[in-house]
Amino acid sequence: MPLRTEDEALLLRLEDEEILRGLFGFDTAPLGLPPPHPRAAGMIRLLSRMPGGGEARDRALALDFRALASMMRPETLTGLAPELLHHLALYFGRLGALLTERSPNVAVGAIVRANAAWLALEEEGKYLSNIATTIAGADATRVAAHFAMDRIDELGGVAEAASTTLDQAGQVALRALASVPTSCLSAGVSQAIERRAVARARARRGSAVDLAVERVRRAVLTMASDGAPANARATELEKVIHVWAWSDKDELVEQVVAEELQPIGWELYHAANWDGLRRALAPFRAVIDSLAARIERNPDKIAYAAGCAEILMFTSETESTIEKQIAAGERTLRVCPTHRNGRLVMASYLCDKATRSLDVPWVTGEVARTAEALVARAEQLYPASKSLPEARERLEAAKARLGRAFWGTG
Amino acid sequence: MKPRGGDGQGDHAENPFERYDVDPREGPAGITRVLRERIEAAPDEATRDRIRAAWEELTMHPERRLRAALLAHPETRAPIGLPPPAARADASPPVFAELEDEALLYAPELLALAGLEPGDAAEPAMPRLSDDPHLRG
Repeated sequence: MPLRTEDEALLLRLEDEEILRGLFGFDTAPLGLPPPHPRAAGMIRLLSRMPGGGEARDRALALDFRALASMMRPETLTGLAPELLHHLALYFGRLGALLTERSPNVAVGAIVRANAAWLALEEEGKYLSNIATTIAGADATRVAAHFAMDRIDELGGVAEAASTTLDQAGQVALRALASVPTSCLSAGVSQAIERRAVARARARRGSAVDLAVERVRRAVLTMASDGAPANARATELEKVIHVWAWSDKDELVEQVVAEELQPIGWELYHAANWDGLRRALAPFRAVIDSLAARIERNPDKIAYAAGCAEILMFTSETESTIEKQIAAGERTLRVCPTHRNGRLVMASYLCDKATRSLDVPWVTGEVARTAEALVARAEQLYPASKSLPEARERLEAAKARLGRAFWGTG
Repeated sequence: MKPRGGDGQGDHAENPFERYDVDPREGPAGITRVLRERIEAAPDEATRDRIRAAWEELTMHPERRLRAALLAHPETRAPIGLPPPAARADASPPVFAELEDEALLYAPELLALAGLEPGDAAEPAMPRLSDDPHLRG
């Protein structure tokens, strides 16, 4: 007996609800998490009406959810029905929330997709406003208009709340905020919305990281005003390394390290406490390396170049060989070519290397010419270097021993 | 579908529209109607209090109602439509129609057994099948 139209519809709905449960299980297996409300099965109906959707639905009925799961994750959301975007925003939002503790990477991906769907709805403009008017009157449209930005604020709130505990929920939120540009790209939003969303995400992310860093910074400053020794302050400052890891190596943390490590470094440097300086700097090597790499890639970050170069200069002073010192000195000058102390110590290293190379019983022409180039660069970097007179003197002596003819041909 | 008597807490407890299976588009009147049914069927005072709190949340604060609505899946499932029609007292399902044919109900042999002639019986001697309570949807 043929089914009535109504029975056919009921059967389709029940099948869609069954597919939804299976699909959610596919996305969360083997965790056995509770599926979304059966109303979310409306998403299956909308997907099944898209090109290839009918086949994907049939495969899902045969418990192969891959095609349907793939349809829910298109490269771009442009052109999707707003109702489907709404479903996707909620589905992925729920997935992200449920997986935050158990599978943070998948959770971040899901939240990035949820944000993309909300942003695509903001770009579309009418759907959320119409719901607002229907449900809460025309005055409520502003809530709908800001709903995607509210989701970004919400993530910021989660991250800020975690700034003391540095927990995983906060870390996932920070990573999702950092990926808002990806969400914008996927959503295909206008430049105006993208600028607004990215600025909002950056501000909320920065605020959360700043809160976490500020606690440590305040503690270090209090210790300094209480007269705590440099190495004790460096140990306290090490806590920001946890913030750095929590925030996926946020640049702000690196800037704070470069800033707060300077007075510690100077104190130990002036005291010629090389062991202390080495111990103080060692835990921060990766943090400073990262900041230096950022500045090398983007010289516009000039505001932090001097501080970073200062720490690199301290590091060069703790190296064990002249070659390592010169390598560290070169990096110092790549980060900040005009750094006075960096140029000063580099000139000293170059003179030292030249002097050492000449300090042998027999100097070849090649060695002498290399030494001359080192001294010339030292003069160019820091003409007033105290190491220069001796280096020049040794060089002249070597030249005299070699003789002009030999000197000229090598 | 969750049982209507409880407060619907469980998998979808975070959103009142999903927790109580209310369609946000029904507005405050619809919300009130559904939640009143829930309160009437609630097993205890604590459940009733929770439902009342949800009712206040959804009806007194338009912005919160909207926020909750936007965070609830929209209804885009296939409309179920009407259930199969219930058997009416004055119209039997087609499958029984011929059984109710007057010729059968007033079959001549039955009338003869009763000592009657066709046309003598103003009313059928037996109740109609469609009057059988077991056959009414």
